[in-house]
Amino acid sequence: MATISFKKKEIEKFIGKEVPAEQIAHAFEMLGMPVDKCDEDEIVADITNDRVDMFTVEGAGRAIGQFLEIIKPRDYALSKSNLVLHVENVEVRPYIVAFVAKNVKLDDEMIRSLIMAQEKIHETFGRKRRKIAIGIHDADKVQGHLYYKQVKDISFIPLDSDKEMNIREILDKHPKGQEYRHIFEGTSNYPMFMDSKGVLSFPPIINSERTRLTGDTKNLLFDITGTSEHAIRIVANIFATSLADRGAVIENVELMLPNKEKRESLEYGRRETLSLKFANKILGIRLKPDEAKHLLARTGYKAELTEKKDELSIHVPPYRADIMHQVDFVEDIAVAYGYDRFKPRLPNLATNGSLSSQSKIDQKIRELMVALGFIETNSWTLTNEEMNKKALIDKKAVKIKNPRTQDFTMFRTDIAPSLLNILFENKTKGLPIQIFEVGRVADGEGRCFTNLCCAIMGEKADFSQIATVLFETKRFANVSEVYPDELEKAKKSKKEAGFRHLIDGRYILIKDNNDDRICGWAGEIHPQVLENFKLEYPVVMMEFRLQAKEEKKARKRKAN
Amino acid sequence: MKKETIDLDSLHQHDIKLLTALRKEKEDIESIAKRLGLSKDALIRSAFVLKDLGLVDIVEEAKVRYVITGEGNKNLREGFPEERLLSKDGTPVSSLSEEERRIGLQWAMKNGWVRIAEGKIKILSRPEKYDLREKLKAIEEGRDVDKETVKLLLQRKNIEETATKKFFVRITDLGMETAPSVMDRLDKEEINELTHSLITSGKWRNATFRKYNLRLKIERARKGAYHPVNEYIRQIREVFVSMGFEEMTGPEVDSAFWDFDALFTPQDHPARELQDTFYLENPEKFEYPEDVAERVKEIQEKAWKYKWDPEIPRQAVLRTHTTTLSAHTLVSLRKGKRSKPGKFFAIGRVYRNEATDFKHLAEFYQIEGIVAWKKATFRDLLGVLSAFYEKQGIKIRFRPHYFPYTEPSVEIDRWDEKRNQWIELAGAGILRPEVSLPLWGSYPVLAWGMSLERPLMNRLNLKDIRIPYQNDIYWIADSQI
Repeated sequence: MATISFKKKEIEKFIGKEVPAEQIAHAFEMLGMPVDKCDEDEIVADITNDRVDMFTVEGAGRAIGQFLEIIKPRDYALSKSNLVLHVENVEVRPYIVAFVAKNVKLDDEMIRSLIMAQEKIHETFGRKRRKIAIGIHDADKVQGHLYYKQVKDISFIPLDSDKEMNIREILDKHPKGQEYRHIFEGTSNYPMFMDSKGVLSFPPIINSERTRLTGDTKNLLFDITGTSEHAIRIVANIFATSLADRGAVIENVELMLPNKEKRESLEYGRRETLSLKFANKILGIRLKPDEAKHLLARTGYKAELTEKKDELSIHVPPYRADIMHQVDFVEDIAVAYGYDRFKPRLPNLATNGSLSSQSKIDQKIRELMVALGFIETNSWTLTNEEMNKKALIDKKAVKIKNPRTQDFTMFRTDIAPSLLNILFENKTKGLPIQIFEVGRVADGEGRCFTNLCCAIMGEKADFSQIATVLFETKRFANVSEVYPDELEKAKKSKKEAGFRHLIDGRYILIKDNNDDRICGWAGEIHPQVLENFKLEYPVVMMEFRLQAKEEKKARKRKAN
Repeated sequence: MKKETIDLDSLHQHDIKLLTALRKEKEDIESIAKRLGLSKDALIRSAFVLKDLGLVDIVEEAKVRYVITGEGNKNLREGFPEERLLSKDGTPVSSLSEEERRIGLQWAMKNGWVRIAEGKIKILSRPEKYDLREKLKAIEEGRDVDKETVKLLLQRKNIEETATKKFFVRITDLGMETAPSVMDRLDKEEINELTHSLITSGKWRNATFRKYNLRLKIERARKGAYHPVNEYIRQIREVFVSMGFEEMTGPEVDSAFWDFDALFTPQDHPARELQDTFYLENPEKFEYPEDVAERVKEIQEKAWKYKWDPEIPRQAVLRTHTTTLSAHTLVSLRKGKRSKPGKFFAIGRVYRNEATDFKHLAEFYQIEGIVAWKKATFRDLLGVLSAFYEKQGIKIRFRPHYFPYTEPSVEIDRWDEKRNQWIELAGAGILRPEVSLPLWGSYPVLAWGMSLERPLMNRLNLKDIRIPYQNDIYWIADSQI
């Protein structure tokens, strides 16, 4: 989305007549573009990324004029330029097209909107100039034919400079070079758009001073380079049609491709068919061909009925970047029809609603915990290594490659550190505190689970209290207790290493009855952990994995 | 205050004892305690009860006192280091520590007792009694000492300052008037607590129960409570289930394939950039199903006109939307050439690489619904949405918008009574055939999604989106949704 400001006087030139500002704003909104500001001087709208053609004032005015039925969709003509563009193999941005716009009247307002559209397209659709870059030149200052080359080094006077610079100097010292030089990381080959005399532009960095636009410029030469042929052609079409709407004559520059094939820079005249039956089926309405044609015209398409009675042949305007499928016409028909005119209805599809087996068990446990007097918490699933360290938990975790802050560097492996932190945050609120959380955790392999964790902090918090909670929950949760001294020796030492946060001899383990695996623990928190979390009273806790009963899962698998 | 309005019934025995024992002059609590043979703490409590009733005045006087430190005690007993520096005959004393010797020499020189000449200590004079030690003794005995000396002794850490509060009580005129009326209750046995033994022994029959002050501040119950976010989720789940939707669950940690590629997001899309999506260092990669990938590749290369890289989708990410679950579900509904219909929903955490502030979170909940049905139309979409929000009492309107993987797309606005305007609430649409065909194998699929926190903020009148996750237990217990 790009926020674009249009001068009302300027946009009205392309709408076709003077219209009240509110009417323009309403039309923008009906086309799906929220309006931030609208008065007799200026209209500011958020143009969505599918309608890059409305980034220009000409394109936006055209769309509004058509929607308000002030103007009709038009055809665009192309004439042929004398210029030929010789394209060589250019590694970093292989694609280029060019065209000339003749008899342009450059005034301040036009230059402002031209540069604004250029910048907004660079930012969004152009992926910050990496995918698309647009260069605009005074065509009358160009000498001989055009060339697109890959060079190691070359010197020229860049725009707004008075001395010649080589590539290294531009990338190191010129502000635009510094801003975009990352695009050339890992290569020493640079693209150059040139004429017989030298460099016209170094895309996507900077143009040459030699062909800069002045108050006297009448004819414009556009070069559009990039990494996607499809994208640069759309952008070329957008500028060519916008300037044609201003009365310019557009001259197509022929490309001589590296494989010696010839191709035109601008290719208009795309046609697609739309089945009216398909459109009506998707929308759930019954449009007649004439109605459909009328609605299509309001969104910028010329269309004719083909020999098949329910099929329309649609002229796709050269500037539309977003037409990939028949559904794209269908949406435009719906927009022109008006969303408020559709009669909502409920799908006639009978289904059984149901909660997931996980949600069912989560819900049961939550109800039980609240009945036992616990307050439910909900904390971040993202945490950091320091929290686990403080809780004496040492486990492999899901680790974030590009953390924004040191607070969120991993997915939590346990809920216990979150609850210890919540106890700290609430330590002035009287004792005892009883809290619990049913929340998500992940193991080091990236598998995600739901855990129940609860904590009691109080002067008299001890093992017996948490044992009571385990006793009450275990029947619902399908888990049972395992006494650490009953574990085999080898297993025991390994297990004990994982329970340093508990006082030895004052905790038990919890196993999942589905697979007899240890899935949790309950006991008194080690004073070292309390000290680390700045807690001053005893804390007892319990945490285990909450899983639905195996038999239920098996039944579900069968049903699938 | 008028006498009649005073609640004298709730007075304790101690309160009555204090009130009736007071004389006209102010008296300090300590001496009253001695007089009555009661504890000082109990009397202070009683004094404040009586003060609240206007029966007495309390004057607090803080008094500074000095106590002798360990160091001070040693100096009192053995003499200051400067005294102990030299024995009577002027030879150095070997029992002094290095530190004591240094301090001793320093003070002895300052006092003019010794001087250093040619590297040797020369004694000039020695007082019989050391003034400083005498004054320290005076402090120990509770006598007053000049300020200069106190300052010096504090500096030398021989004494420490402590403040003690003294309470003086003076009976008011109202107290004088009232005292006689409670005289008859003096020394009469009153029951504070009804105990097990009082009941079983039958002693309660002869007892008088002290009357309570029934208007005391009520203490909060320590009750269990649901977290408003989870409770809101439960309510929305109920709406979905009542409309015939089946719940989807699945992992927060997934591959870029399900988060982006399967949803027709081109591989150079800005949403995939590091500043928007959390990528993982561990695990770094996940595999994806080859058959689905084959279909995704074909449709993307055709539509986006580029070469689809099979490596990029293996990147492990924290899901940026719950639409990953819809994608997984749609694939599971595809059985050979058949595409089973269904209505599904999910509510789960999603992650964005955003700085957290009062209106942005790095992790938040998303609500997601889909209807996969060959006969579905745009009108069915609007119908499902109308019913879904009507059940929650939310007034909505539809307007066009752009979302990358739906066409037609709908933006849903909510009418905000308080602000008197329409507010963005949710996005919806019919999944593009480029999305639904490689996954479900058929078309159309209706879909919508929204964040949970925004309507929650509205329901709870929150100005800051982070409040629910600060987990203030009072806030949780008091926030009803």
